[in-house]
Amino acid sequence: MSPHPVEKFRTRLIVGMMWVSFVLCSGNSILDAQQASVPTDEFETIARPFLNAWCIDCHTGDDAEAGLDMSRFDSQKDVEADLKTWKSIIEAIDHEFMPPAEEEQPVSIWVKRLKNWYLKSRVAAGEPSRPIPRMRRLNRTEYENTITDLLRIDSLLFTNSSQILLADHYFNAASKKMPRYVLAMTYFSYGQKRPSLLPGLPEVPSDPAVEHGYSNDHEALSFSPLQAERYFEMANSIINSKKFAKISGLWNPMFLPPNNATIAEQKLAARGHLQTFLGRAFRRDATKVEVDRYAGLFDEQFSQTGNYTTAMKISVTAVLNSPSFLFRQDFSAGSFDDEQVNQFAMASRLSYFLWASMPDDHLFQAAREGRLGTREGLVKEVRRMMNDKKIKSLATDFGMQWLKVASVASAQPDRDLFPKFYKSKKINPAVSMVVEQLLFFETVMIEDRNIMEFIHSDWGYINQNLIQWYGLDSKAILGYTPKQSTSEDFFRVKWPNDQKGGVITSGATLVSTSATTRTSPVYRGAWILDVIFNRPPPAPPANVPSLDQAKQHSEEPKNVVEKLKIHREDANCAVCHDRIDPMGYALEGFDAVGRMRQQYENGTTIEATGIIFDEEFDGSAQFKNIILRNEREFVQGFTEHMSKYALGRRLELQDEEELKKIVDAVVSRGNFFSAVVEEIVTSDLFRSPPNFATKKDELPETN
Amino acid sequence: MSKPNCDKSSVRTSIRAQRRVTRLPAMSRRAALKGTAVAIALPFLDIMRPLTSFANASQPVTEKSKRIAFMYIPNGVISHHWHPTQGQPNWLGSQSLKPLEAVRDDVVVINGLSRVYVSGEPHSQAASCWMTSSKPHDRIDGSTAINRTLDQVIARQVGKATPFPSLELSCNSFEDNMEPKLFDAISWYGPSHDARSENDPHRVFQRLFGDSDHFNRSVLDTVMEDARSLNKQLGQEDRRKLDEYMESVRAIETRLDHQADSRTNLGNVDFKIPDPVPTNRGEYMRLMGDLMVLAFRTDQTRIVSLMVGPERWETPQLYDGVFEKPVQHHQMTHEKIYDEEVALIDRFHVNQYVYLINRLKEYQDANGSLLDSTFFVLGSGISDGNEHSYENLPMIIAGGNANGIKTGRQIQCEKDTPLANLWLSLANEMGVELNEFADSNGRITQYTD
Repeated sequence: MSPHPVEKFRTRLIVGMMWVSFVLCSGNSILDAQQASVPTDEFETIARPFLNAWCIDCHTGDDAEAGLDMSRFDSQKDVEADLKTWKSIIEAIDHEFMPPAEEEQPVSIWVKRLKNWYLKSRVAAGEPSRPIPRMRRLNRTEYENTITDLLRIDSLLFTNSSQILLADHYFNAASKKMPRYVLAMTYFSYGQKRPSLLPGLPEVPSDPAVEHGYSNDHEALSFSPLQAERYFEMANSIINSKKFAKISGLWNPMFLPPNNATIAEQKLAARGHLQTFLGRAFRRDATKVEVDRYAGLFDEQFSQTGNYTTAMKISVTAVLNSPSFLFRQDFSAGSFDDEQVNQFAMASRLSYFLWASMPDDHLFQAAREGRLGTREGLVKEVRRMMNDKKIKSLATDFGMQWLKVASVASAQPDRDLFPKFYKSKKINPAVSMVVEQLLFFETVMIEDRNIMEFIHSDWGYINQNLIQWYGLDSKAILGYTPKQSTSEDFFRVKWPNDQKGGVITSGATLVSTSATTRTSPVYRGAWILDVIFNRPPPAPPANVPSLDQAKQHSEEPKNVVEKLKIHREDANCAVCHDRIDPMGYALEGFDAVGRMRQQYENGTTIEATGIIFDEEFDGSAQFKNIILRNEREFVQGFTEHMSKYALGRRLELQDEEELKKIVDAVVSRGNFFSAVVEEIVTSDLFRSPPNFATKKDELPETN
Repeated sequence: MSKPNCDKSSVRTSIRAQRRVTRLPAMSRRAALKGTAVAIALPFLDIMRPLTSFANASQPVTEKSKRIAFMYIPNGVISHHWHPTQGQPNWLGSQSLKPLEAVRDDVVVINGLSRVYVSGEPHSQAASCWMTSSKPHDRIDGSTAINRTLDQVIARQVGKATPFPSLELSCNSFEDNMEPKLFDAISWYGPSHDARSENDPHRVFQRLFGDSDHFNRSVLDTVMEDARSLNKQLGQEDRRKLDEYMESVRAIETRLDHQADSRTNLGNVDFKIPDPVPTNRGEYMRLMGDLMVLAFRTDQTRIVSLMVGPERWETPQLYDGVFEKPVQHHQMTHEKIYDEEVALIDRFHVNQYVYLINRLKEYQDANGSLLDSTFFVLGSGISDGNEHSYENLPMIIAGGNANGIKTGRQIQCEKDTPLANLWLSLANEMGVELNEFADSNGRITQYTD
């Protein structure tokens, strides 16, 4: 049928080798010089043969699979008119969801040709050759942290954010060691309202989530009148709060009039303060026009009210409402011409990546002295910043989003089946599970451990509540010494066997990926594909038949695994579910609320078998072991996740080359957490200006 | 009201003076908002006491004002329980529409409207593209046909008359950072620019009726100058972002102008908002709906969208009076064995709709009821949630009699009639001159004629 050589179907479930296959077949860079337009014959020599060989059989006509009629692409022009559809086509092929596993597979050289041709087509259609990150509003976490740092408030100002509030400072980042024992923490579940330190302080508006991305993604962070009102109200509430004078380190120097000063001297002093403040608020030196503008507002208000403090409050409120404060411009295209601006932009990129906040004085100084332009300069700053307590944001903001921990809070297992889950509000296991996951992430980060420990570790943190909940034998757990502790205190422990350890088999993951009454191997499989390997399965198409099609079979399926296997008899479903479900089976040894189990409620035996990376597994321990032996797959997944967060945008095909370099470097450095951070920061993705379509020397080459 | 052409500072003074006159003696609003089940002293009528004093109220509902509200239910419906059997004379025979019996003379049930499904995630385009003005295959933002939605198209024109061009409400107080906004927004200013909805009734109330002291005109002037000079340095893409900012600040300025004018005309009412906000679905929806009615009555806005829940989210929710335990609506729609239960949820939503129809009917003046001057739409972007079908969508419109709409009937559209045809008709009814909307190929003349 096919005029082209085909490769036998590979049984690897995740071939996640998008970069590998690329480079093996090509000595050339995908960004080598080429002309801008795509010769029309490339559609004929590359796309059409590919479509004919591997796509068109199913994707044609009115009853095309997934409603995708590919026969409508009959020329280069047709393609360039609908690149959006092509994006998903390329992704499906690239992630090896298409063609279906049981069909003949295209050889990698052909996939590579198709991808290159697609990249060229995009550029020819006027799209940038590299994604252009845009100016974006500070998201909620960034806003809260930035306000707190900017106003030099040394306590937690916002308590009703989605961050987890734990007892402050239970670790010292610079010591590179997490404590053996984290005691009597006050922690709250996500979204729970807590009293604010400033009475009457409204809540900072929440941000939309980004599918397979992070809440700092520039595309999601739009601005509306409703949000403007709330930000303006927020600034006003903070500055005019009665407690502001007590908690802000800026109060005495900036908000009180200088002693024995004339009107003119007071105005001059105010101007000086505003100039410094503007520089910090805008994360770059303020221009003279800007200083004039805000000093002018101060003068006007000072004349009207005769009160220095009132005038300063109004001026500072205005700064907090300015677009230059509310929007991050550190990745935007405009900032790359000027080296000084570039240095400030780099300072902001670093601080929002690592701290989810504005640069500190040290970082501003480094930018002013031009020390952020070299790899050495950047690494030096990164290491300093990793030793700062503010690094906690990388765990609470990136880490918890990466692991999708927030959804544990909204999980509500069935009250009849799992009444103990609700026994006491205080010891709701979900809350402990969030903390368990957080402490684990923080430990890998603070102690700079091998990131493969996210897959499996022989250590972890646990408290009495969870020991009881998971049904563990506390005597067998090394390091668990609950003498004078409460049931909520966490201990650093060594696990007696390989059932626990790592993030996949943690309660937070298991509970948040279950349905209310049962486990869901589909959700669990999708979680692993997405979180661990950054290969999220595509969304199910319209008109999907449901799980209970199983009812048509003569025999009632005895458990969810069997039910899903019947589901997968439908070729439409099998395409994706052959990849998704078996990953979920690996975790069938844990029930819907995270407890270990030997059999289903109806007495049938647990089936936790499947194949990943060509190897069979039985149970989660073997499953994790296989991943450990294929470390690059996870290192790549994790690096991609962290890159998305660091860049605040989706990753595109054009980023492949750079990402591969980062992954290579991380692996060669032993997969340490700090290696991932440092290699991202010093990569071209993070450092170099985006390229525009007009730069014709950076187009991908074909073949 | 147009901005008076005089010295700015004197405008500011006069605004403050007016507000001082109207400021209420009672407790500070902020304190009130924090308390439990507080009665907030609010300028205007007693909404809890219907009808009586409406005629005495100064001027809230002008004769010719037209209103439109969109109530959106997520995840589709059980079609065979919703749509009356073809040719069935008694359209109220349908199980899910049973509650409409009580308001049968006020509604038009429209059957047979459809949308075009474009390959991709079916739930995200269901909500986000329900009212879009783009054709289904125009994937402007990369994956969907999201563009300025019908409510915003109307707001650009009709909304100028009121402090808020439009109001976006939702009954989803959960946060779930797994689901993007496509699933939780039906109102859009433009591609990837969603009109964020407000889910907290306290905040809705505060926004509509609270004081706006935190907006200082000099501050607004200063930041607008900042924005203008910044604008000159930006690339095209970034300018679009900054436009969002500048439009927002302008919206605040316009609102302050309006409110300075209208506040003095408001009377006094109690409106009770329980705290914490009820988590069961019914109370929550009725509360947000009441606020919608209140906003209409006081002419704070004439365009409202109310999304009762997000598409696809799996957050278990308590449908009070239907199930004893929280259930996952979306998940249930995908297991056929739950069809009957899902149909109960559908009926539950119709019940809340009927409650709000009645609220709109309660308020009358010489020209008729508030409902008469309102098009109150109930619908979903998916018809059958299980199969993600986009054909034969649920659609009911209450009110509109002041526009000459004949209510109390059922309309059967021809197969594959675009939903956009109805949107076009409604836009025209609201006074927006358009000849086409999205993928419309005509109008629903059976409805308007």
